[in-house]
Amino acid sequence: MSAAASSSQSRPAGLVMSSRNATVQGNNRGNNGAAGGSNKKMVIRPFKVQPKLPENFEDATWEVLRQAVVAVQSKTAVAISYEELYRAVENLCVHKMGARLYDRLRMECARHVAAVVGTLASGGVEGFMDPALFLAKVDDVWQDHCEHMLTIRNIFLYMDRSFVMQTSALQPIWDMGLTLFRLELAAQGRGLQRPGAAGGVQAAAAGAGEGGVAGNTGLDIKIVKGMLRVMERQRNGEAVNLALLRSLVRMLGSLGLYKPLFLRAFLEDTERYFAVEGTKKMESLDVVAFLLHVERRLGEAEESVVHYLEPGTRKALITAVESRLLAPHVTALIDKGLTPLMDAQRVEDVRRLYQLACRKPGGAEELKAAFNAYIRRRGGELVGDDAREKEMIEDLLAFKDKCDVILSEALGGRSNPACLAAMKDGFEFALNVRPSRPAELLAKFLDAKLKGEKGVSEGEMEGLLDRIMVLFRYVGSKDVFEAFYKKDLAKRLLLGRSASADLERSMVAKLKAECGATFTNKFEGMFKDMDLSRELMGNYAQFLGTTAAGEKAGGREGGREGGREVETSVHVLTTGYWPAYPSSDVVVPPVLEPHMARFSAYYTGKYQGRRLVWQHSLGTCVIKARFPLGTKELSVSFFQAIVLLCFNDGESPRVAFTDIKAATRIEDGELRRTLQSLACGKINQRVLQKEPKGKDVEDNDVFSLNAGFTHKLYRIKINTIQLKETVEENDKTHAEVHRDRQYQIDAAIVRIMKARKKLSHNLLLSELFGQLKFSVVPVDVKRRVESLIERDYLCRDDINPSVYNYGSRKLRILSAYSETCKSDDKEG
Amino acid sequence: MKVKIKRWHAVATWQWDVNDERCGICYTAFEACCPDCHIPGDDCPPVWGGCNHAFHMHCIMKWLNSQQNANKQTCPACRQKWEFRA
Repeated sequence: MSAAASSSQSRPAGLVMSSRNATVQGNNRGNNGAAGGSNKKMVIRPFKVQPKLPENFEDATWEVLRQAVVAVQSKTAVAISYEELYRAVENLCVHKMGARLYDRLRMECARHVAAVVGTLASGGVEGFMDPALFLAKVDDVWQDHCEHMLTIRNIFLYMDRSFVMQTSALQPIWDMGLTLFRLELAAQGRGLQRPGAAGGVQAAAAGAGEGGVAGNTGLDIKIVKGMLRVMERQRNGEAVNLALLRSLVRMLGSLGLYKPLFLRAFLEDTERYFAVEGTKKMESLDVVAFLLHVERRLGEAEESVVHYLEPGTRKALITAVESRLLAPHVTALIDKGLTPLMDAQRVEDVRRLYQLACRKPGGAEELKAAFNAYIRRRGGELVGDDAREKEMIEDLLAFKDKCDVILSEALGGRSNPACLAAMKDGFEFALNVRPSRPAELLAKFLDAKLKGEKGVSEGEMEGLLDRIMVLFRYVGSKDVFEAFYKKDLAKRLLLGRSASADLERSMVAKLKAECGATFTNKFEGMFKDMDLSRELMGNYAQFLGTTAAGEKAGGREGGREGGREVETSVHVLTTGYWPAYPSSDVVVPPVLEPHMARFSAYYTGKYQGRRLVWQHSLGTCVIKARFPLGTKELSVSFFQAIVLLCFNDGESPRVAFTDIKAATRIEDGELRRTLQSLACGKINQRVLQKEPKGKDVEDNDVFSLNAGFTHKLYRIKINTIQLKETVEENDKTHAEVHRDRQYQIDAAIVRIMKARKKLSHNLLLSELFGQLKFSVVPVDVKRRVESLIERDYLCRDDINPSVYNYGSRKLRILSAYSETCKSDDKEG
Repeated sequence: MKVKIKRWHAVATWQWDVNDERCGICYTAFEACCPDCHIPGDDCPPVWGGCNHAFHMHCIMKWLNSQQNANKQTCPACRQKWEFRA
């Protein structure tokens, strides 16, 4: 029973009332039967007559629905409840009236859309109405349309889900609404413009001229144009309703018009706008302001994507801004901006310039090239400035630091190897603007630093050395550096001027790491000599101690003499390691002779096969001088000492220049310098007096001791002129370097010719430039080639004198002769 | 007035005590090294023969080793029998 009941109830939900009544009757009957005790079966009978729909069922129902639709569209209250409406739609669909219903609904919607959109077209004549207002109206209409369509769809949901879905040719209600709207936008614009205002006629004519592109003057185009106008206003700095734009963009998106209609127009408009703006701003703004402007524009573009555009547009939009606003001006920006920005060390702005330049294809390259050119120019100026040679290294270090900061902070640092290389190349060029001077100055700068400065800790010095090494890396003529560094290092070591042995060694270690062991083995040899000498002096002192004791025990006279011994210490140098010093043949004072002899004997006894050559120009002495006003200890050079010894006899002897020269046999120029240092130095250091007075020492000058010599200190160091860098010495060092280079050129030429056998002069030159690390003057090469020809390494070609052959002519003739002999033999 | 030297810091360079400036075999200076070495100094010393001719040790050793008759090793300069001078 219950099964019957449930089966009766499980009929489709859309049954009409009459059939339901039938089942209820059956039920009642069954119940009654049960109550009466009778055992009757419940029978279900079909209707005798098929239930019929009322005659005007469809039309009446539609009328109800239509009224509801109209009410929705006119925003008035709907008379009947949504549920009933829904049911009505359901009923119509169940009775297979969906197709007609859909058509009727579509017609209704079309009518409404046409009417509403029509108001837009008639209201908004292009060019006469504020686009913002027009757009607001469009948006209102759109919002209403959406709302209406939503409600209508809900009412007609049953149809949408069942009938429309099953019929593939039909669009769902929502889409149908959109299509209607779209078509109407396009059609309405055209239709209503023909009879419109004068401006409209022209536009229509233009549209007609374009033939098929009738949509040109359509309302949709108008909307897009209006949007573009509003966006332009926004770019010009006016406040605009972003929500409105967003809503309209969504509308276009929903209508499927965003890509085909809006996007291209939008991008074209953007490009046009920024192309004009770029040119204008370049004229009116300076580089920094322009960069800021571009950055702001890019930011705005990004923002506009966030605020109202479709996300997919981002790339195209940014590209449009970059290509129009920025790219055409990048070159000019770099040309105009980089130098002043770098000069002013404006890291931020340089970074901005770099980042923006990178947006242009090839822009990073341009900036790199400009960066390189800047370093070349500024660095070259620093190096080429004769007047500021003293500060050159300091300036270069500062400049390098500056560039480093820019590179790391603004140009991406290590992650930008191209710029790193550009900087390296720039500095290499700059430091070699002048062939050897920077190397020389670098060596001298190091010398000054390694002699020590007050208030500089060793850590700081280490840092400084590292920075200097960076510059050193760029210097081409490393041989010049080596020569000067060696000379200065020798002086520091021999005169004990070095501030710190650790720093000296660490510097050499750095050089070794940079240039290899061959470059520094002489320096290391110098350190080794110093250590060996110290050891040797220790042994020598022991040796002296034992012999002196022996002499004392023997009761010889020497014992008494021992008290007046001169303390002697000797640095023994290996010839090859140290710079070549001029040999001087001076008269050694008798007091020192036994010491010299004793040490020589000791040394040659200890090291077989060696010979000592005394380098008096490097010796120093401490002498005790009793002046009338007190006894002083003077720290002087060896030459100064032997000159002073000439004044030892008598109370106040006067000695002529020529006599001193004869007595000491010091080389003329050296002697003049020595006397100058003693008689014409600082006022409080003048041990001698000169007559007549004057700055330079002349042949007829006569010297006497300065009886009035006094000084507040007991120990005085007399400055020497000879130890200072003289022009002569400088030239000599350069000459040495030059000489060494000749050998290198020789070797390179022979190497090349041996490989090539035959080469023209120009080709030889270009190969040479590739092989030699220093810059070669062609004249030098010519001279070397001549010399090599003389020595039979090369010979000129018989036919073309500008071509060289490897090997001597004689040999070649000989070998040619023997060849012919052989062939003669064969023929014979 | 009396001047007296109290202390003396002298500087001297040492050279090989040879009569010739350069080695007769390789023709480079004794102060430099033989062609096989890179660093002059103690590692590449000269040696003297009984005839008082001096050569780089490396150079003369090469010469002596190249002579077939080990008993008749001669000085390349004067053809006297080669003996190392103590």
